[in-house]
Amino acid sequence: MSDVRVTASFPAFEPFLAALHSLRKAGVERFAVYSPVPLHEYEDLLPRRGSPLRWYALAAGVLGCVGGFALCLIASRFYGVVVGGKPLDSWIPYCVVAFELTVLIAGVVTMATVFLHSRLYPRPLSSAYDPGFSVDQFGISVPCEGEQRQTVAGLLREAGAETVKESAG
Amino acid sequence: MAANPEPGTPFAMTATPYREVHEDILQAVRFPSRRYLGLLALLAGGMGWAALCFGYQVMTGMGVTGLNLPVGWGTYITSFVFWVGIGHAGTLISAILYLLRVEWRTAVARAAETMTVFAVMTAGMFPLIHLGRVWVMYFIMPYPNTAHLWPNFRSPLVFDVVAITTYLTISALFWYLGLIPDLAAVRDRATGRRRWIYGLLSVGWQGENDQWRHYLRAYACFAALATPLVISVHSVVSWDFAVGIVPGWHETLFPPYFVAGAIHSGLAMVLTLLIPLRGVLKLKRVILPRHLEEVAKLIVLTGFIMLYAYVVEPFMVWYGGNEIERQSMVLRATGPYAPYYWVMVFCNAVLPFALFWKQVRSNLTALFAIGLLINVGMWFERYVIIVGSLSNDFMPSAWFTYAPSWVELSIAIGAGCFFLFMLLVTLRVVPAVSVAESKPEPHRAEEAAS
Repeated sequence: MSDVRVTASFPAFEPFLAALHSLRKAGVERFAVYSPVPLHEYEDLLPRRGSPLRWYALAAGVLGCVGGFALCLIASRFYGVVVGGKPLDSWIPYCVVAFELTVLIAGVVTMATVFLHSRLYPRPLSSAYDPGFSVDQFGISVPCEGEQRQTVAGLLREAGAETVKESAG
Repeated sequence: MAANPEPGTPFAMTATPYREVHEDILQAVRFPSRRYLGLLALLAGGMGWAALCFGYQVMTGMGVTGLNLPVGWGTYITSFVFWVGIGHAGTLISAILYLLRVEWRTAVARAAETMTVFAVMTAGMFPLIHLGRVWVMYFIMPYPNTAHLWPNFRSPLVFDVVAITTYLTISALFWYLGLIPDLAAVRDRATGRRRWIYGLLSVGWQGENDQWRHYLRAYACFAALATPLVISVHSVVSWDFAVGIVPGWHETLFPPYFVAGAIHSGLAMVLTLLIPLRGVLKLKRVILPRHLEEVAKLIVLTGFIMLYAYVVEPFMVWYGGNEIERQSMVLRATGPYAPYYWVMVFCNAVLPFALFWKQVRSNLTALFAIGLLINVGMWFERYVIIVGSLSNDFMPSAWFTYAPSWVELSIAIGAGCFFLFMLLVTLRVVPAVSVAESKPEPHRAEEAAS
């Protein structure tokens, strides 16, 4: 568990990018980045890449598809009236319901997963967060232990940080 | 933001500072003017009148409508199909154009997505209104019950329930997902109770790299899910008719014809709404005439598909050799619904080609008028298909010319008021254009600046 978080804010992208390179060079692996826009092109510089989200979506889609067919078959078993000459196990019409439920369940689970993995629920904002990060500022927040905080603060200032502040880790 | 970018310049590559983009878009999220409130009050009045009419229909019975054998589906089902169609443009713009990386979509996507959500809600009301005994609507839900009644999942009407529910859910989730970073931006500017509300709605969004990563994956996932969904929903709606044996309905052309028509009307509605709204919400520097011109180009494409459908439909009837189908087609063009038929042909398949001319495409008044007329044409298209076909079926002795009653017209207009009311309220409380997407990614901003 870290003692403090050192957070720097950058008014422009260039010094922010320079700070990311400096941190990587110094072997700092754990840090959070705040930005008003996604940083597609710089994912290599950011910690922890990838997202399991699409696997959850796939699993939920398969579940929805199986559930859709199951629902149709169960309903036709419970209310076994032949309508319009169509057999009770009419697989082609059931594909429509199965498809819709595939999309429905996959969508709902995708949303739940993004909330879970991104920790999206009503909560107090991090002490490192600055409202400028939703406008035009970029931020880096590094959890530090002991003497490391001075080194990190130095690196961030050197790269061109506008402000560097410390908060409880 | 500055004036229109140079021709050929991708819209997101403008070197506009982030703060300026931010301020330009978020200024629209404010307490509305008196005129705006007056308009909302007028729309609320329309909704109230429609609610009273619906109450009258429930108390008196379906005899207050113009429906009578053989015309069992009239204005309500016409409006249902129309509003589902309107909802298609939002998903086209937000999902399909996102997957194709079309950059101009950013300026119009949020408004179109909002339109989709409320259009599908409006559509969803009509089958319930048409039901008559609305209090037994839960019969359509699959659940164990003492009567051992289960929905017939082989029926397109049940497909419809599943498809529309799925479409509404996915559209609403997709819309909300896109809103989260923008709600956080509004939260950061707000104070007091508004800050608390936006804080709740933005669910702790801070723009962390982890959040962005999952957000982008989820957005792509939703776009991939919504793309086939948008095709399926209106195909399912078309099967409500195409699987029936009614002359004028029983056609294999219907699914693509309905999907194209839905997108055609949805895009036209985007023009009809965004042209006045960009002025009302002071977004003229964000939603540029160029963006609307791109929408107009898409309308030309869908207009071609409509023209093709309008030509192929009578051709297949003639080529098929079925006398009853031929008679139905002839009556469509010459019978009691002929004026509506020709309005439909003109507005949907002739008028859009005026957009071939750059002068027309870049004239906002002309674009607004064309958008409005296409919507009129699309409503009549559904009216002609539904009512025209039912009126003149196999037995001439049963033929009946339907006309909507004042109750049906009031409810149909009230539903339009509901749609506009919800849209206008929502676009005042959430950003009408995506803030995060309107800011170019850093490397693109650098390229543009250099």
